[in-house]
Amino acid sequence: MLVLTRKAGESIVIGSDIRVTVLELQGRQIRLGIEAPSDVSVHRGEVYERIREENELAANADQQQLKSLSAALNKAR
Amino acid sequence: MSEAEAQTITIHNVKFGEVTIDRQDLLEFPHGLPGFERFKGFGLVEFEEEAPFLRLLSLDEPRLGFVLLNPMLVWPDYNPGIGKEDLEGLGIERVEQLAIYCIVTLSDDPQKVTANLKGPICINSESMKAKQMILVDDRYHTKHSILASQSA
Repeated sequence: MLVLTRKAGESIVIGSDIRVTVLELQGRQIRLGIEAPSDVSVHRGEVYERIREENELAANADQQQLKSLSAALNKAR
Repeated sequence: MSEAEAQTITIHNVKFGEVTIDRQDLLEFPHGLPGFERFKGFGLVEFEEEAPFLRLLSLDEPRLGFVLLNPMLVWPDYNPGIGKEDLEGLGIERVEQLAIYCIVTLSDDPQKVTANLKGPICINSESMKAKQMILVDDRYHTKHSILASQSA
């Protein structure tokens, strides 16, 4: 991992078109500003990880499980 | 090649064997899905006995497939508030072009089956370009129980 030290108002540039700026420090929190092309997704790390984990759980869905769910749902309606 | 063959493709899937998919039901995820970034091409398939669920089957990896659901069927008030930039990224200019599905996580116990409302699949239904969005909205998380909300 590349480790850089920055002050508020300073930034780092990733590639030619992504810029991350340290906007403000408030106690234990740091506010970052991110400029990136619209096709680059920017997410909070822990939220992205939750989506990734859920996708891995959801992949390879079992056929029998889905049939029984479909039956249970149609019955509940 | 007959006209019917030109309009469909056949893939092999470990669970369903040979599956024939209409070309109009092929989706492209230019960035893949989180955790499965390498896989860009999928087919959206409906099997009658699995309604109202659909299958999102990888065109490249026969073991990879997801179960999708139109979230409005279970949560009519679902309002994912997709950002303008995300819609532009899919080339969506009018609301009629947008189709939204959520990924379902199955379980042996139907009561424990959940839908991921935090990461909806958005599709441009004209170009069939698709992306899994990640919502900032705290009302939505990755595990909303489907049957619990039915009985509520």
